[in-house]
Amino acid sequence: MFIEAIQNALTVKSLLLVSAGSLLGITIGALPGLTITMTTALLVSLTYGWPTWDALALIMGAYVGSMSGGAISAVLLNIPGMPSACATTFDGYPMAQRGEAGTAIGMARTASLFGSLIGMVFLAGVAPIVANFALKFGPYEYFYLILMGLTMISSLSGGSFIKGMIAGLLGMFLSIVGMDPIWGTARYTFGNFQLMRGLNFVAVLIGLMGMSELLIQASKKHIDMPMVKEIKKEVIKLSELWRMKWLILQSSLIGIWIGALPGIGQTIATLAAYDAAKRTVKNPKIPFGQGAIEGVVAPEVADNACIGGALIPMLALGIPGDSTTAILLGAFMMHGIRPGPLFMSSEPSLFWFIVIMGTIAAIAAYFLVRLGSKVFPKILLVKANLLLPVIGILCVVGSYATEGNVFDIFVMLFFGVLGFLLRLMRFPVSSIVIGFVLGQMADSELRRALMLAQGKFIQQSLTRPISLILIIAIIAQLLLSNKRLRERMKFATASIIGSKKAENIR
Amino acid sequence: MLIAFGLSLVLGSAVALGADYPTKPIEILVPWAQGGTTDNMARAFQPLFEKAIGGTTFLKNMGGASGAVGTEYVYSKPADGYTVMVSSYQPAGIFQVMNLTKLGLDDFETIAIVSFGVPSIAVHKDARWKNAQELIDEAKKNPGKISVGYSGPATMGQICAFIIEKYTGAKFNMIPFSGGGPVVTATLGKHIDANFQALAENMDQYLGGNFRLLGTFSNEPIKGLEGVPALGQVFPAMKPYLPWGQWIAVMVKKGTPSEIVKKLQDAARIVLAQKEWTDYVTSMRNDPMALIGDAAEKYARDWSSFTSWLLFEAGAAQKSPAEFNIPKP
Repeated sequence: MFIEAIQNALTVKSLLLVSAGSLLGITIGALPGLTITMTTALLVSLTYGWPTWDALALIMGAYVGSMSGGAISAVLLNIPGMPSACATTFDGYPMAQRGEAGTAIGMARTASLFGSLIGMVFLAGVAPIVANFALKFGPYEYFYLILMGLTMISSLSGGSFIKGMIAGLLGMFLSIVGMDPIWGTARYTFGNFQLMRGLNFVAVLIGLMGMSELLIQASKKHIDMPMVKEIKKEVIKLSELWRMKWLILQSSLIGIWIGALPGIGQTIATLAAYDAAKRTVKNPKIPFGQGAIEGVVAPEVADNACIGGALIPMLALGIPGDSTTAILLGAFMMHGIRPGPLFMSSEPSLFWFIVIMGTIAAIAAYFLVRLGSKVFPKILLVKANLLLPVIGILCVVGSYATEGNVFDIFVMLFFGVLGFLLRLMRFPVSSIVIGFVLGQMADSELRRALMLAQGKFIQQSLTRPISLILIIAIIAQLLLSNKRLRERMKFATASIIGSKKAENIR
Repeated sequence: MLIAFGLSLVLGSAVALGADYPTKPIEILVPWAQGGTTDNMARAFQPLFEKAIGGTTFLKNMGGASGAVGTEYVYSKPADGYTVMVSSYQPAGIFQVMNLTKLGLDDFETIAIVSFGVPSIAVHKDARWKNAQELIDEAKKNPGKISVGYSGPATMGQICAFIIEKYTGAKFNMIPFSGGGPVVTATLGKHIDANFQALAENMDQYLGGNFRLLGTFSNEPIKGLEGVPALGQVFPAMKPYLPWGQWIAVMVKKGTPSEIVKKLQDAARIVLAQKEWTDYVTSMRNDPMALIGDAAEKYARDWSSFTSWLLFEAGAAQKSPAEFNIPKP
């Protein structure tokens, strides 16, 4: 079966298809608004009559390639090509502004490769274990996990904690606009049926990141100059990568784990990996948020590791891990393959084929981005008064393209102006994004848990082992992030030991 | 004279509209996101329909608010047959009673009903209930203790629960999720006790041995699933209302010229008779249907009056069906 998979994978046709898929994925990923979910749906109908192997090669190529493409526009233009690339903008864009766009994209590409490969290793090795553990997550566990995610607002807020909280709460508020997923009640829609579907996340992101950056650039005096003075050479040192080995592993595990939890999504995985990097990398050469290379590597690794993660529940149990794998499941059925708990034992050659294709697609994506890496950064040498209108058009087309709805263009413009004003007042835009991604989920999961608990919510939360662990982790995290408390603890431990260092700490 | 001229112009263009239709690409709008049942069916329908109608078509998804956004979009377009909607059952009164939009069956012409998906009762294989009777007896004895997941407001699983509650006197603790996938996952993880999702959604876990199916919302056992009882036979009180389930229809805006409607009906008739279509629908574990024109309209109206009144009487609807002249069943 493994042999059969290899035989089918290593044909010229399969290799060409997976590379073509990868190229398509990179393009889709780099273009804001065009999502991999939409592309997969199109590819599934395109490949309906094809042999299963060929169809899977093309689709897997596109799926993996898109994750590498998202970073390109995130680094160059501050527009996340894919929603999951939004964490890449935090440090990737400042790097590009310093002229290091080449290095940022190069690192992103390398990080993506590592992320994909580690994700595939986990998929191949321990899929059933991870899948069964993921099943243990019910509404309680999801709620506390999301609550833990919300603590990221404080650690990512940068300068002012209060401003970070305000922005985070604003994001949470905006996320609940629309039809309430529990009872179907309209919330803050003012009778507008377009608002019933909620604010389109892609349009919100493009507005907050890309459009607001455009307005900031356009408000500068020297509009007829390029935004970046010079483009430095791409530097990727192996020693640099080796230094970040633990960061890469940590980010992969976060990506795989969150990818394997159905319904959480890649955007949260990348934000969580970024947040974890910020907590664990003590002395980055350049501070996070100002162009730290670690801030590009962590989310890009997690983003790609998510693919392996999202495929785990799909292949091991027949349940989709995200919206793309949901479409893949449909594609399986079209080709007469039974997804489900028996898939791995009844179709082992197909399982291995997917793992091998994912691996080849990751390698193909690496080299395809590398081919273009000399050219991409040159975009930034175009004069701002010529480049900015193009970015504007990308923002408009991108926000329209996701759902083909003109209303989303206005959503994007509104958030562009909002983002611009908030950034002028030094509110962290990243906090709004986190609030927006997690707000609605926190609301639904909490209410679901309350409905299930029937008045015993607290008892249930404390007696379910995973939820108890999560609660303890949240409390610990909050206490540790309190600077004064941390110093006191250090002082206390130091005085117990009786070291003279205690005085220094004080 | 001027009026006569104007009238002839209008009539002339109307005839021209019908006679050489289609002269430009037809937009097939799916008011749901990519990857769902409706989208899958529409994607299989589109190429066959394109051949049958003898023109070009393109498919567009516009999801949101349980299909209300895309439905409003189709209604905002001219009634010229160039915007065709492939929709699930929501325009049949559900939008109205759930207060999502005012649009209902009076605003659309039902060209054809193309497929039908039957719901099922599924529990985890470790659950203590061996059959539907045991589950429902316990739900009667301890009302509101058995948790049942469903995929959001006014979706199939919730309506099925209301049907059971109405005709057996059972009472469930209904937990809404954000889609069919999450409901199946929660059942698999034993976070909820049961679900009444589409057979298509529960089937893989049943075949894989993780789920036990306690019944289907039909009067006869489903072909190939003879071991799973039909609920109409277990609970005779439910029999007149079964089979109940999710259907997918092709619709255009009301007021579309009758010649165009006829052309669309003919094209649908050709598609629905093709083996390629019926095979696909069967592979997605739905039943192929082929109700055209008046038959489709009657089916939708009957379904609408049963379901919207059921939702209203269960307290799940925000508006009364009477407000929209939906007759009581």
